[in-house]
Amino acid sequence: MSLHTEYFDEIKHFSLDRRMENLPTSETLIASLMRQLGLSSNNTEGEVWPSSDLFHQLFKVDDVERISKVFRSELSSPISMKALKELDGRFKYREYVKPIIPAIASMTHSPRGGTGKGSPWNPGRWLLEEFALAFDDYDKYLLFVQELSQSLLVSKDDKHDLANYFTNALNSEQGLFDEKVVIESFDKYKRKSQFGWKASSIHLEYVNLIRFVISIKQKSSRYRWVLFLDAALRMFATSASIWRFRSVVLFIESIRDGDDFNMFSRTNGFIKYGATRTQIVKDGLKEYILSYLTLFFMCEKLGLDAVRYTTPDLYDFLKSHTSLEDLDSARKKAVSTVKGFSSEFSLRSSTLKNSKEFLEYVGVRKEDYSFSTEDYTFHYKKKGRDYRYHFGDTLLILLVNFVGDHMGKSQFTSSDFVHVLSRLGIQINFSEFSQGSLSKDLLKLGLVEELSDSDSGMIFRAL
Amino acid sequence: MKGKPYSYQELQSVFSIYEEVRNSIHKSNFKIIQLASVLGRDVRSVENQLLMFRAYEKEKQGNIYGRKNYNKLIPVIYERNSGTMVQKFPDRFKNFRKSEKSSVSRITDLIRSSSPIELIETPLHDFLKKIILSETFLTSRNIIALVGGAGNGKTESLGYILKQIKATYKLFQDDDKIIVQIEHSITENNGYFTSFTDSDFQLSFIQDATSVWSEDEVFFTKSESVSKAIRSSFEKRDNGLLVICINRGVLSDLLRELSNSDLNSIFTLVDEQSNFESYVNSVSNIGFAHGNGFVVSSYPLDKMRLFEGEGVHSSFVKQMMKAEWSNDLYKSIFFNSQKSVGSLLDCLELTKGGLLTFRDYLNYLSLLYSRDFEEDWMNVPAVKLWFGNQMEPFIDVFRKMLKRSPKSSFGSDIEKLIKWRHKHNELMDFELLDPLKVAELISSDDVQCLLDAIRDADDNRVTKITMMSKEYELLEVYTTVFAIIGELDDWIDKITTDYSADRYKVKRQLFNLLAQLMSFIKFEADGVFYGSKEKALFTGVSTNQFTCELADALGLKKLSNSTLNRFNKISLSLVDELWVNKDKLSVYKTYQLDLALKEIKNYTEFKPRLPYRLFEFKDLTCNDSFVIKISFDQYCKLLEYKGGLDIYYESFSVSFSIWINTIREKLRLFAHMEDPIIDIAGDSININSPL
Repeated sequence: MSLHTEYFDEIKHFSLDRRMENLPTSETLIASLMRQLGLSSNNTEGEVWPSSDLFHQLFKVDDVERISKVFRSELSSPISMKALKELDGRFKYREYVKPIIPAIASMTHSPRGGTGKGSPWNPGRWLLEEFALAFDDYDKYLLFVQELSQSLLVSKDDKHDLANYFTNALNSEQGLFDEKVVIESFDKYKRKSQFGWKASSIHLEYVNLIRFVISIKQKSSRYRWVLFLDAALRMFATSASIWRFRSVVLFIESIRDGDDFNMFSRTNGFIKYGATRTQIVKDGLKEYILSYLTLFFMCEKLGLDAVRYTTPDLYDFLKSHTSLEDLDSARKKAVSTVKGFSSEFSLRSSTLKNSKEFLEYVGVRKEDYSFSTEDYTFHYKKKGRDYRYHFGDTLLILLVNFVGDHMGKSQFTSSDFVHVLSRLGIQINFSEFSQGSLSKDLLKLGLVEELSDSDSGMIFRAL
Repeated sequence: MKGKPYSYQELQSVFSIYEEVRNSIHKSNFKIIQLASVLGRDVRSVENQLLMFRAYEKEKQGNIYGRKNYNKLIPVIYERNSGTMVQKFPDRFKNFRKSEKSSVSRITDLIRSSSPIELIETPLHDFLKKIILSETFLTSRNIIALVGGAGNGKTESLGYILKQIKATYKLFQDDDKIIVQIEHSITENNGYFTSFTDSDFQLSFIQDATSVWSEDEVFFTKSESVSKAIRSSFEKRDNGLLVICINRGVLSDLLRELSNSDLNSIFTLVDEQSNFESYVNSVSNIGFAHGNGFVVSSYPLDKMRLFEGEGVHSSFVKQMMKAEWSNDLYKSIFFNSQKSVGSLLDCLELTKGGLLTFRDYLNYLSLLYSRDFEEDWMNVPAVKLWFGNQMEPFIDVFRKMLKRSPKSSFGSDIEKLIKWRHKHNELMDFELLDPLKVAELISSDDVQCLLDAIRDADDNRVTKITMMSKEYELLEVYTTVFAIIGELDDWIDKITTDYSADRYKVKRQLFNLLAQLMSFIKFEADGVFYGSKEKALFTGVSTNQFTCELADALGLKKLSNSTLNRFNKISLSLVDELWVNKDKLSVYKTYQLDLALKEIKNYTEFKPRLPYRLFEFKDLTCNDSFVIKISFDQYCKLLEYKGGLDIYYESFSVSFSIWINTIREKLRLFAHMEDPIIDIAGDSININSPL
């Protein structure tokens, strides 16, 4: 018997049924998102690599050389050592083109690199499905996706000289927004609504963050803007997934504490700033598996077909029909099951392996092997042996400006900052300001006027 | 040994640790555990005796304390010994250590302050004196707001205010009465609001506006508490003084929450007097008349630099001349390193943007000068600061190899230092200021010569060293540690059993340690230190030159025939991004500007001077402007790249380049777009015509 699949089938409400594999570099996220939105030619993942020279395909013949020079010098981002090896140096330039122009991005960054066989994971689709969770209303969701895809196009309306230059040089028209994928991704969410899922406030906060990024497109240079978007998407990827894990844990915890069911409107931070990646990802996953199994055994004992219930109903039923002892014994059984079926549940081999890898990679600083470009969009920083939750410079600038925009003023205090960030799922302890490195980073970037070790006494200044 | 009462001797030894553990009497305190094992008593029972001493002390002070009963010997021992309890230096330094538990000083400290900084005068005292000595002081409703976070010396200044009023107006002469009133406030409202009245003049304090007024288990909100305090201070009176200690966060909360427009405008005034903009607009912070006879003054404590000019440290050193020392060696260590330490702290304050509080300062003193180790040489500030710095990866090899040496404990001593440094994270701040990074100060030849001299000397002891052809006298402790290093260096050369790579590593570390000590000695004797040159430039350089350097960094071109600081062009890369890249092709465009750049003098009388310099960028076409501040750090970076400045250099600090690029991006908004030509790797391309 494979317990693993059994329990995933039993309680569909919470299962993470999408694998999240491959190195989710920032390019992959944005590029795949663009492809999903139909902003590019229809090359499939398998066709991308063998196709002939990229710049010849995209740009007018006369200027291919000059354009490629610009791209390579200005818009390149580092390539990973692994990818470089796989490519034998053949497509050296393709891999590190930043997806600034949709067409280029989608052609060079298929969700799965290398030979691209098999059915690849699709980060763009996954992002869209996650965004769908922020909305109850399809029209609002569509509006957001339209805004997003509009912002990803390069046009003369950008009022940016470089964008102007590229649109002039482009071979053909850029792709048009494709609604099919939006409908599909919303449908996927709709299936969740059968289980009584509502729009989640945490997702909505991130939608607001992305909207903010879109709104500052014209104020920033292209590269800086892509970094902002990149940082926001990567942070969203972590928060959204961790929220999914946490929701099961909260479900069980709420039953234990006898709380009301408020899974979708929780605004407390659930990721602790400064915590290690192991604590966040591995422990998060382990706790998720245990809670999930606990739930499974609770349902099993009551002879429930959990799939027939909506999440709130399931919650109410379990709350009224399960005693604390039942819960404890289910939990014990869960622990012993995980131990007994260690090969099935180990994070190295289970289906959750991909989630784990994804979450481990999506927030770390990209290693730079070939160029002196730097990555500031990470949210884990290596400190000693551990990776710790830590905002990269771009993320910090973005978040401070977002909070300023949210508050409607350019100056605010640390308690405002902490409050808004908690809505994004990040819990910042005030000691981070007095003892941690957060305040020093803020000061160096000129985002705070002065440091203060009192609770709320730091004045932030959006740039 | 249960059931047997404590003897006089036993209680005496318990009392001997009382002063040291008074703030942490619990069963897991190592001192208490240690004493219990010496006495052969239970830890809990020793703890109990200590609590009895505390109970007696509290009773004596008239405080209410849970424990009421104690051994009859307790008062006898307490009274006999408390006279001699006044600690001497260097042990007293330990009391300066920052405790994590209490961030707010107690109001009772007001009267019998034992703080070593009470005698140190800062610009804050001039400010307070100016208010108290003003002619209308006794006839108006004065409000003084001390704005700033914890550890800035707010409670100290309350004591100073009381003392000044006592001396000037002969009010509040009866200390007992003051104590009664303090206790009244503690029972009445948990010490939130304290007031003293004498001859119709009422002096009131809100010691910490972060807390709230609580009465009969009812807690008011922050804004209600402040309103209530202001009412109580000035109700039915036309005069008085209310001092409010408040931090920026609470201040902004109050501005949001206070619905009473009168009170709201008082705090708006406080904010306007003390915030960053008040420097830009030169707003005075003293004696601003406000409706209903209020006179409002405020002082931004959080912008105060402690070490500017003569500074706090030199006053402290002066005080220390009179202090009692129990140990002459430590006294000489103190006076032979105070200049470097002062200079270090000054530099640290500047690099942190002026953010060193009194509490930090005292904490650093305690770390550098208290006796934390048994070996004397390990307590030398230079050793505490630099030894172990960058040693961590080697420590295993280091300790293992030296275990077999004649100085077998040296390796583990260094390990102890590393562990100790880890416990006191704040020491890492000094890493930036490593003396070895100062150019042309000490040559490696000097270090090697000294090593040879030590190895040749009798007992490896030298009393003089030569650096850059100048001789320096040595303290005894330095001689000791030099001897150890010399002997070990000699020993390593003789052994052949270890890997040569390991031997080389250890030898190099020893060399480094010696060099660090040497440079510290030189700093002290010659009065120079890391950043001293740059610091002089930062505070002294003329506005004109500063503007030129800044304009260079930003890629601004000056209007050729203008004598003013007016600029007409900026050259921007079209991907003004956050990266730092070397020798990279770039896409540039030159924008037209009409920009004036001027420095804002950030000095207003009776206000602390900002630790940074302010510049205003003004667009003359649309009259828009923004102000930037330049800190010491940023200025150092500017200097580094003086001349042919190019922002995209690898060695440019990342945050600096982000900062510069943010300013450039702002300037782009000022720029007039007219020219469609951009420069791509040397070619001029018209972006409007199709390629």
